[in-house]
Amino acid sequence: MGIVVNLDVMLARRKMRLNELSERVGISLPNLSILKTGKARAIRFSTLEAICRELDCQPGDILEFVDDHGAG
Amino acid sequence: MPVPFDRALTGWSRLLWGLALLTLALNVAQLSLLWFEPVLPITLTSGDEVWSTDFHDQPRHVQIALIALVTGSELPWIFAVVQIALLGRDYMRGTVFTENNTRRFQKIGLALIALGVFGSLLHPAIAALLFAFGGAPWMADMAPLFTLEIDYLMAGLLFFVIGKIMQRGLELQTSDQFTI
Repeated sequence: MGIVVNLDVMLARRKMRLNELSERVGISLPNLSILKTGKARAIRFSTLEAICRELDCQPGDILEFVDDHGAG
Repeated sequence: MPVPFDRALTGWSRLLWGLALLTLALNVAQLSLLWFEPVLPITLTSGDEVWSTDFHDQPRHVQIALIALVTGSELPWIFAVVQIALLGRDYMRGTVFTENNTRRFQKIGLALIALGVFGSLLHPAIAALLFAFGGAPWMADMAPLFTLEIDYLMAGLLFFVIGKIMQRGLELQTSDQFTI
């Protein structure tokens, strides 16, 4: 899977809806939806910064590396 | 993704589309009518040697082989013209940067390369064929000689490379669209 986006987990922890986050960070709902569903190919530092600020979290809370080719 | 209306692009594309269709019709008509000509001379030269015969004087199997050779060598061109017409039609509609058009550029390139290769081999192939069925002895020496159709090869390669560049551009565009 490589990089997994845990935006939905953070939104649930903060009890925030996607459209609310969209309004707060100024990123369109379709784009945030692409990010949430893991279809995004890249994320800008400015986007990550804005999301982390609004959700009061670290980049590592949103992005996670999952090694598919790991031992075992 | 359609581009905004552009009068110049639409006009030039319409011209390209029309010209490609006209070329296609003329090529197909020429190929079809060729075999109904009452006299159809085939002339091969090598230095001072000139050897001429008429298509209709050849045995049936040689006629069929000649038809296959000439028609086969024209097929890549007809294929390229069809692709050019489709490209013109899409450009006319404002559909420019698409996966289909990128592939069309590469197909046109490959077709022109094939045309260059076939064109290079056509005369020696005809000489070999006619020699095998009673042509002049010097035709045996002519068979291995061919003129490299480098213009078609270069044009084909150019189209192919442009197609590859467009493909890379599309990948970058998609990547950019999915950068949040």
